[in-house]
Amino acid sequence: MARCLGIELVDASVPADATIGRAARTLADAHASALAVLGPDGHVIGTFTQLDLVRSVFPPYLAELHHTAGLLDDREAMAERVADRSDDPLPRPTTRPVTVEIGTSAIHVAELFLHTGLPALPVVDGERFVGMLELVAFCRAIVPAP
Amino acid sequence: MTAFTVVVFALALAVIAFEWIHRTKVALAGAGLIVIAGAIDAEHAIEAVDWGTLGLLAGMMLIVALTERTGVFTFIALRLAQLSRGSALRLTFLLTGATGVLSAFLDNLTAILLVVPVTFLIADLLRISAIPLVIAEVIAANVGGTATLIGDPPNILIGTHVDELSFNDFIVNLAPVSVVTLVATIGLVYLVTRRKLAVAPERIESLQRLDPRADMAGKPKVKRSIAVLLGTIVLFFLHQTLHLEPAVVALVGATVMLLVVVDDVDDALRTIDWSTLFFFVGLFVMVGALEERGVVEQVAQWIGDATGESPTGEAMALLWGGAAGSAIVDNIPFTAAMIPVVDELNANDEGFVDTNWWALALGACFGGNATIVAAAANVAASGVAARSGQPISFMRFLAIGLPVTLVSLGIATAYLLVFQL
Repeated sequence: MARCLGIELVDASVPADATIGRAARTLADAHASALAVLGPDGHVIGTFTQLDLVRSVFPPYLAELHHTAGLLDDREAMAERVADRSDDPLPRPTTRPVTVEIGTSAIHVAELFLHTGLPALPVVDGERFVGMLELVAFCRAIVPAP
Repeated sequence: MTAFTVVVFALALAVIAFEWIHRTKVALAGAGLIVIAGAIDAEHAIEAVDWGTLGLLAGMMLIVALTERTGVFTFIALRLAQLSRGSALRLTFLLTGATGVLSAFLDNLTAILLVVPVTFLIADLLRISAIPLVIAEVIAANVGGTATLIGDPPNILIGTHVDELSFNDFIVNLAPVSVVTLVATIGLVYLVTRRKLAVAPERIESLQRLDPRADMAGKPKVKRSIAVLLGTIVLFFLHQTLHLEPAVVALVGATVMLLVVVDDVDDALRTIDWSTLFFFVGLFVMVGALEERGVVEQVAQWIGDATGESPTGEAMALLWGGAAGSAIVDNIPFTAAMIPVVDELNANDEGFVDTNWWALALGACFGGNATIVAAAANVAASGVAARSGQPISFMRFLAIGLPVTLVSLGIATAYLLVFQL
């Protein structure tokens, strides 16, 4: 498995034409918090995070609400929505993807984590995707265990 | 230079109406062009900005945004939905009634942003279409906002411009006709859409199982926030007696809110919609240039000539013309441009006559219901609907909005003829 800053990267990616269901399975199988979305030529064209998955399967108006503590789960509707959305294509990336060069510095990676809010960053070697750098792994690497 | 000013303003209106470019960029670019070209000098451009309007808007934005964090508005919407017990008629009138009242005492844009997302949730629980309710709420917001000085941006513009008009004057002269119009227009919307609002009996229980209070219980400073909001509204009623401008009332309320509720001032100030405030700055400068170049006087002259300077003719021209103008372009720039025209029309009156102001307010606010782009509240609701995966098309809104506007203008015409002229 490829490494960046000495940290083992997670092999988690899907092609751009993948469904939400496939992306969800890839996230779960790889124990990843985000995966790279790859274009037809294998370049990173975006990321799909666990938050994107939540956004996909919960009602879209949820993002507009701020006070939901009094709501109860509607399991029937939730199951219907998950089944409906599983075959939907991934949302099209609307911004340029943030990527990390394999030989980059820890301070640059820290800056990208701070400013993008992403839980994992795609690492590339040139234009080739090599794996996802997880924030949790980055934290473990910079703060050694006692 | 006059022709250049008119062309820039007309182009800005068109670009804003079609949403080609963000309205704040358009207003600031138009103002910049006009100042650089010398149609108005920098000193007069700064004087043209109505700081009272900006203060009122900023103060209310802060107060409402901080009160929203308490969850009180979600509580109200959910509780009202429960009180409907699944009846489409009760649900429609309770939600739109609440929207109308919130719109009158907060502002219509805020009311929509508070109520529409909760409406999608309620409709989802009841397995009914949210769109008829959302359209009814937009209409209620525009009509309810007509009732007070702070309810709708056209009224804020008029109320802060005309010193003789107090908060209470707006309520006395516009609230009764707004209530009648609200009942009539929402009744009409209900009749047209009621089949889409039929609730299956088994869904009603899901609504009753909600706990509307749950969110408020965990929030700190709920009572203080609500007290400041209510105190500010009471101050609006007393502002003339206390010789306080509406902007001062709003800014005092906002300051008290910062003092007693807020820990992080920078975070609180981020809740102010700066984009809207800068939009108004650009708008005021463009309208100031139109005044400076004599365009406003010319338009007033045309209206005076066309109506034979009859008070009834002028009021009807402002009501129906105001509605038509607001339906085509955003009612905020339209009202900003018409205010100096009304000043000119009123210039020959003996003493202060308020009829033309009420005609303009009714026309601009009610005209805001005709199309999806006619008022800020409509655009905001359309945005929430699109983000919720249920966009409202221009034609779908027009099919309901246009008849509703004609009904409301009919009521306003009768009101002006019987009670004001």
